[in-house]
Amino acid sequence: METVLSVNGLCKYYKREKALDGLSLTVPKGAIYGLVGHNGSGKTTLIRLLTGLQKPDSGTFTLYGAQNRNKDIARARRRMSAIVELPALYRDMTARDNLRIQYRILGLPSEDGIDELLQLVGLNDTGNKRAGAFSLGMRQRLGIAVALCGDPDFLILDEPINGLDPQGIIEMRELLLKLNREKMITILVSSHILEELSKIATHYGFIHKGRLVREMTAGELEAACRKSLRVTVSAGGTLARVLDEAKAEYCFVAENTAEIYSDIQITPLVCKLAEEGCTVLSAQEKEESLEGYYIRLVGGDTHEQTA
Amino acid sequence: MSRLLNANMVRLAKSRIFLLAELFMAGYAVAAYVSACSALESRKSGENWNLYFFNGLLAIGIVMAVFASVFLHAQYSDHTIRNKIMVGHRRSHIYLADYLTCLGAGWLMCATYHLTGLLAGLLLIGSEMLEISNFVLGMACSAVIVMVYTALFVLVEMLDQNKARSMSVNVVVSLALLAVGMQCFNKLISLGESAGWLLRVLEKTVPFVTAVYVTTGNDRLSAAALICLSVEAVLLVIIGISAFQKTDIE
Repeated sequence: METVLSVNGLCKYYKREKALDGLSLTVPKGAIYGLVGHNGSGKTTLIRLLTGLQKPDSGTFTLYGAQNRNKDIARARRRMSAIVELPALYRDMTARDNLRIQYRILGLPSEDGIDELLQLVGLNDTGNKRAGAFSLGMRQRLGIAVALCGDPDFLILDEPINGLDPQGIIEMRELLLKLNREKMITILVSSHILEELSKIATHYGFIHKGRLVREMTAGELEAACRKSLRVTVSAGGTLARVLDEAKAEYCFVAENTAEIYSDIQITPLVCKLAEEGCTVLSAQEKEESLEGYYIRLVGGDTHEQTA
Repeated sequence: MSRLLNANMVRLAKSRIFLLAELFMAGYAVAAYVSACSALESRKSGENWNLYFFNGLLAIGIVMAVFASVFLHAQYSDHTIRNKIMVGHRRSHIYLADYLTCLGAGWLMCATYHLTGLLAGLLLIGSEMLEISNFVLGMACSAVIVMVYTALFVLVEMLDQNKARSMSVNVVVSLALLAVGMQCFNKLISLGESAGWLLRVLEKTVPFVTAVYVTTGNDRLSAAALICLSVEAVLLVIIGISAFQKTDIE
């Protein structure tokens, strides 16, 4: 698996407060990586470190093969772009002028791509309207257009749907999917709105108290949040045999507790188990929301690092 | 760094605060020469009206404090400084580009004052000309004084991300330099050669003292002061760059 970004044990303190506590994660090429965590969990701090706005106290990260302590990180950063919290725009300038300035900052010789970028984010008809007079959704889209100047391969977006209305959220989602699928841009997007993130993300990293609690693919998360029947019995072996006979899909989460994903009727199952001399101690139907899964994941104080 | 300068120039060309500062300097020049005209008429003295040619130096400190605060702080309040750092520009280059842009703007403001003043002087008073040596020395002083003020105000702006605080600090510092400079000038004139070492140090390091010397045509104006002020500007830029390298950007 080719990786764009690899973070290894990153730590950052603000005075005595630990904002990042040995955080590690890996962003594969072509992914839409959802960085999930509640406010203050360290998402923005991580992005600030990755973008060079702040320096880590310890730990390293590697971007396109360049380690953050090496000089070639500046060259690697040219392949990356980001929006941290709010889009960085000159509010007293038009959308076109904002892009023009970014083109100059990047040293791009021609301004030919500006029209295409404005078209891409749907701001080609804003004329002389200044960015300060734009709605939040328009500013977010202009921020993305600025970030796309220079055709980056990797885009980092910090809470891009915060404050957007439903229409704005849909537009933002479609834009991100378009960038990922058509322009092959790898995207790292942070959010605490899991439901929205689940519509686009291919990979997830769950952050809590400055640490990565779990890293998983969209498929793994989907499996973890499936509707299931959790059954606890007196003999796990008997339960497994009965479920195998019924060709049910299941997995054991403890020695005598199984999650059954197949649509199975509970009365025949209990009767069958009783015939085999196995007592059903509890049966609980469960359908976990993404938010529920996240809360369960970060609810304890233990931190589980996945490879 | 040329890319950053290029981008800054586009911003400067569209900057309202720069336009206002230019208009202020032009208006100040006209006001200075109108007052010179009436002063010369009432006194009928042989005062050299061309000394008003450098009067803009008395105001440039405050104008630069406000200009640098508003122009540079937009980078923090709009977060656009992030766009420069994130694409891999070195912080030292960002700082230097901002300094050079403000310095260029400051020199342009002085040039506006001089040109407007020249025009107003010729129209209102006549064609008496400055001695070339005084002109060259005055222009050199203008350039160096703007260098120092710019270095000081850019340093404050680049290191303090709180807009209200940094602007207040810059304005207060510019007023303090004016007050200290005026006090020094008066004492230096009254004490002459018996002035103490502190006064002599301040004479060469407070830009407003040199500005007053230039505008009054004082003989105490020396090349040493110009060298000291230049060194001061360079040191302030070096200190600013070093500190900016370590600053966490919000």
